[in-house]
Amino acid sequence: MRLLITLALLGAVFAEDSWKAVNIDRTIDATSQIVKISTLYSFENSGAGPQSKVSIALTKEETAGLAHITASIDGNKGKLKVVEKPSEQDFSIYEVDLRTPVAKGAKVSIRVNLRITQVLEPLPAKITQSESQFVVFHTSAYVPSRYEVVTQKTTIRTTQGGKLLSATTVSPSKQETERVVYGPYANIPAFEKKPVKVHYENNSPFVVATIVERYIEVSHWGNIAVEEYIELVHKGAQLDGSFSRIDYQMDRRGRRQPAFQQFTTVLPAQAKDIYYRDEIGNISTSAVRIRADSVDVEIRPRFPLFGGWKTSYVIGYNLPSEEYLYNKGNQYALKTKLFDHIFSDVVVEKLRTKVLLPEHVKRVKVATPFVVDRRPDELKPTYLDTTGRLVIVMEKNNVVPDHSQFFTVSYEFNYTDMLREPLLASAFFFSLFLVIIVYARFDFTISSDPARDAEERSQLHIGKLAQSVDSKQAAYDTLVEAAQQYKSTKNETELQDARKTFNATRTEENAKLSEKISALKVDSGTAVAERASDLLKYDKTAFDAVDSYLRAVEKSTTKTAGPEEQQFVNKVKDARNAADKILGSI
Amino acid sequence: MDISKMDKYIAPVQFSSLPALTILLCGIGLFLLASFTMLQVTSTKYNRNLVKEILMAATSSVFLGFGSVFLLLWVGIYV
Repeated sequence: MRLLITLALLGAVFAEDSWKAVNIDRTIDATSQIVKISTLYSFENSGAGPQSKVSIALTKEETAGLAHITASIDGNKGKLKVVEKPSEQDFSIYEVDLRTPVAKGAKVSIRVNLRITQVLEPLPAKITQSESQFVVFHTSAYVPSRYEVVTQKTTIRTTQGGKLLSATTVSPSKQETERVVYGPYANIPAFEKKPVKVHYENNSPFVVATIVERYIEVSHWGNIAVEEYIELVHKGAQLDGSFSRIDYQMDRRGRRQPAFQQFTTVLPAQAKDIYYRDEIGNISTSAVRIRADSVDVEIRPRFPLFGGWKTSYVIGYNLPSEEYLYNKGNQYALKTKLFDHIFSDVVVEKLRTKVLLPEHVKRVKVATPFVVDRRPDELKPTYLDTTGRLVIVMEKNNVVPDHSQFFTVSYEFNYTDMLREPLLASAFFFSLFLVIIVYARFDFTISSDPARDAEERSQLHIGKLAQSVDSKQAAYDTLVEAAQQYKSTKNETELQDARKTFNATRTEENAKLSEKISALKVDSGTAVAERASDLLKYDKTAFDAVDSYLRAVEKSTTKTAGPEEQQFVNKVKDARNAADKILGSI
Repeated sequence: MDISKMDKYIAPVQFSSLPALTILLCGIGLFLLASFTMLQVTSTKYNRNLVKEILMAATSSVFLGFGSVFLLLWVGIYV
């Protein structure tokens, strides 16, 4: 037990970080709706040994609006890890991991950047169209610190060319045209506060996107479709009284009115098929400018946004997948932006990014550069889907342009699943064909029509008759060919074989003919059948000539076609004509 | 797997070849559809041939299926 207490005490001793802030130089940029605080801390290790963690303090007001915090060793680009710790004495504490320990007595310079939103309070809260917007900024003249500060200075930058109405004096402090400087102050103890108020002109529109819904739809056919639904509200000083379009057009302040007139959205350089519309439809007062490394969309909403006014719109574009999608085997990874540019110094209250992945993806993993709230996955059925596509939903509150960073979604996908969509379409078409095939086999006649049936049947018989005649004619042709062959080879058996085959075919076809003729007799009557029966005899002359022809062939000494060929072929042709005449008459 | 070890994903069909593919595949599919229709209209209940009809329907639907997917991609519906 005693040992445990000793260990706990020892732990407490090591956990306590003892530093001294040698110098703090803080610059607060309050020119836009986002308060950007950049602080350069110079810490000195006053502890007993080397330390690798240092804490910074933020006031409660700063923490409430804190959107983004980064820390880095001054002059070094690498970001340090910042972790929130339990608050102390009404101050929020963030611990910065320095990675490399700092030796006892050594110094380290850390640059901390903060982005704080919705802390500038418009005063007066209501202005008319012709008035300018004034805001009040509350902060502390002393930089909040967890350690004793030897020297410190704070510079607050206010709007260029704007009026500075008042600023609390904390000697030594001075007001200039575009800035208020507090300090330098010497030896301020830890957790010391000195509230100050700066009242100044700030005509930059305080336009807040209350919701940004970003859809990223991945198609493995080579496209990534991005669509953003954005709702904007002007949260600056409310417009008092009526709005006059003439006064607005004639306002000599031009773009420096506190109204939101137009803005530029910077899209990736490969963006194409850009659209920008709202609930009514396309908004034609926009232009696309193609730059070297981006596509700029100049957007002018249907009306200027004055204080308290709101608007919503949709902007979308397509990106080629080869720039953002990677794969190896069945492993795929999408690398794209979680949040992209809307306009400079935008504040987003709620960002919801949805990633629509193709159907049948497995083992989805998401890696984000900052903490997001991963909502339950959804299913969205769209074109040629069966179960619906997997939708990954991520949410984040209080987003500023610094959050425009890449994130990765990795998943597994079988390449053969690409075939599923065309096959689904094929199955659809095939089912239509099947319906027709089945439908055509139904008989919807109310009363039977024997005459029509007989007619259809006799058509079928006549078709068969024509087929048989064709076969017979073909047999003659083969025979003639065989005879030609014989002339060069003088092979008796081959000729005899050819003759046998010819005879067999002819007899067979004749048998078929007589069968069909008797069937025809039933369906079309005796007259037709009699005419058809001539088909058995039409080739009589040709058939009779076969013997003499073959004899002539055997005797023939020439290797080329002689007069006997010509005669026979003519007879065959005559037979064909006769057959056609008979078939035509039926 | 780490993303840096992966290759850029290349789509199975280039966008530039979509119009030609669509016209070719849909053309063949529609031609077969037309001959299927002719077959249906001209045949009577005594000379229907199920195998022939199914074969024709199957080839036609495969061509039409692939053709219509490429048509969707061509017009900008990225399925």
